[in-house]
Amino acid sequence: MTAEPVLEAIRVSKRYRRSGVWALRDVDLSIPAGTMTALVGPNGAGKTTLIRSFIGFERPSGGSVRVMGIDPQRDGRGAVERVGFVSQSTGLYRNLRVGDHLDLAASLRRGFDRASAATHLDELGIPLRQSAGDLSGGQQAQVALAIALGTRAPVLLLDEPLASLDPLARGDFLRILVRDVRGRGATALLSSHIVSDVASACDAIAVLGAGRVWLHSPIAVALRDHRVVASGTTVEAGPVGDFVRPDGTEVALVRSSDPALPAPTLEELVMGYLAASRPSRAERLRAA
Amino acid sequence: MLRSAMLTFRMHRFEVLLSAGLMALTAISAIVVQGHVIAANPPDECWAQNWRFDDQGILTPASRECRRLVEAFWPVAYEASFVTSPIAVAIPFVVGLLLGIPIVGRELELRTATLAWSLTGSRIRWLLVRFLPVLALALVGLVVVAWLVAEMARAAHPWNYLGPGRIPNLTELGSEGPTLVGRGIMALGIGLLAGAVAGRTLPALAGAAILCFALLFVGAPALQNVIVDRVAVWVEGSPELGGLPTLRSLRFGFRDSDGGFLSEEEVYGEDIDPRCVGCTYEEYERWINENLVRVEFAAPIESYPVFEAAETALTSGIGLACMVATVPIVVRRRPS
Repeated sequence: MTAEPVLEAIRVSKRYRRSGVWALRDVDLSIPAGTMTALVGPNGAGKTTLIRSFIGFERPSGGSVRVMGIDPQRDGRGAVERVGFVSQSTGLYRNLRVGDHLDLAASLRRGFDRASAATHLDELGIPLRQSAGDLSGGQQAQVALAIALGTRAPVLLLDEPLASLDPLARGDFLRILVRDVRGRGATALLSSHIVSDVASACDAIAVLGAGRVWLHSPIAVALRDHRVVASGTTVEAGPVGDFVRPDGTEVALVRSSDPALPAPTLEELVMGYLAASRPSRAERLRAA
Repeated sequence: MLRSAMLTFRMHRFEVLLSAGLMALTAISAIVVQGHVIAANPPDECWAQNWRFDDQGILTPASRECRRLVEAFWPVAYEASFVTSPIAVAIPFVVGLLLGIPIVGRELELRTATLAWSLTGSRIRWLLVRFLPVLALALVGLVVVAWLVAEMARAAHPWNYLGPGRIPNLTELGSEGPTLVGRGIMALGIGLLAGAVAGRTLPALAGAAILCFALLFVGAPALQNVIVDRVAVWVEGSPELGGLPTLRSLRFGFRDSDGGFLSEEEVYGEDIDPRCVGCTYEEYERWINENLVRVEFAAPIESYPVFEAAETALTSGIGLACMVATVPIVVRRRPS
């Protein structure tokens, strides 16, 4: 991760005043240019808060974020103009047609590439004359993605766009996203809690749990440098976390590249780190 | 710009159609009422002449012919404007709130603001693109309605338009003309601000409606009292007896034959005027009628434009202030 960072979070903390909950605690993250990073973590891990901070929709309680060197809190306009954003709730106007959304985007964003957005939608068989309110969840996500891609922004922020999509729709979404990002050399940060989907699309992964970043690494490197062992096994490696496989086996993720030990799947890698992010029984009792 | 305006209208299709429909209905109704009553309208002389109480205690014109014409006119005028006049008073508030609240309030509520604000670096520009077409619609519609309702009121309430240059009697204030437009701008601005603050349409509607009604029922009379106090003059006669076209009489008093002024307290206080030698209270009442002239401290009809301009300026000012206050909220607000 030596390339110039496009997205940077520097000791970012965010505490919501009403609930008093810390969504982020001293998060440091640096996303290099031209990469596609999956931001994974359970619900409430702080993924949305972090992504929204990059576009200026959240004001960090501490620390700062940068988008191509711009602090969105100081130059919101500059940050927004460099970002294409897809939110979990696509934010489409139910009483507007799909084509109207493209017109709307063209009226709001200088340089919006309406033709390419329309081509994306045409490719997916989404008619421009159809009302957004009549689209399925997957189609709505595709329209939101087409708009974000139409901005031709160098940075794409995607906040759980896959959450409500069926596997086929998720596949279509990721295919178009990857093609565009790779084709333009753009940088993307894609948050999701569906690890299997992002594994094929992204080249780096950041695991966020309990408001902290527990792992940030190229996926290939992360898989190379970790192993899974049976719980309680003593190995010459740094233990990460214990977790239970779907078949009931208790295993542990360890930092090791020992070829004699089995490598984890990406899902196991994430589960190991999330297990580590969970507060211990003693910590939970103390907090209570 | 035209395309953006069309998109704005399409986004707020329901409110735009409902508001435009209500304004069109009011305008058409005003035209119909005007045409209906104008034929039955007695000549101006019937309204201008001195009226008196008849045997049943009803105020009527002095001449028999006028009495006949006026008696035939009352039911026509009242029935005709029975619906249109109250609607005309309500329409600026209904239109203003209907159009103002969803501009920001519903965008936040339905999370469409997230998409829009992620596309534009300038939320001020976004607000202007959304708001100006709606403001233009409301202004054009309300100006037409206000003008047509004024024409209707001239035909249906001719006794209120006997002043110089046919300016209205102050009883018409707030029910026709520029005051309606001013109130509409106020409601639009309050609705816009309430939507931006609440981020949800129903709470915004409730809050904005309460504020508008408070300003209408408390603020407007308070403003009128302030103006009355500044423009009122002492005039002879009584507003109830015709020939004294005033809105509000602040107080009354009396002048004696020497031109001396006696306040209400002095005349109706505990003590009987010593000039009424040996009078009982019944005889004193008669003495007052015979020897004193009742005078009113009241706003003259010529002051109508002052009231109209003051209220229109104040309501429009409140509306514009609310619109301006919405800008920093939109700029700083977090889309939900």
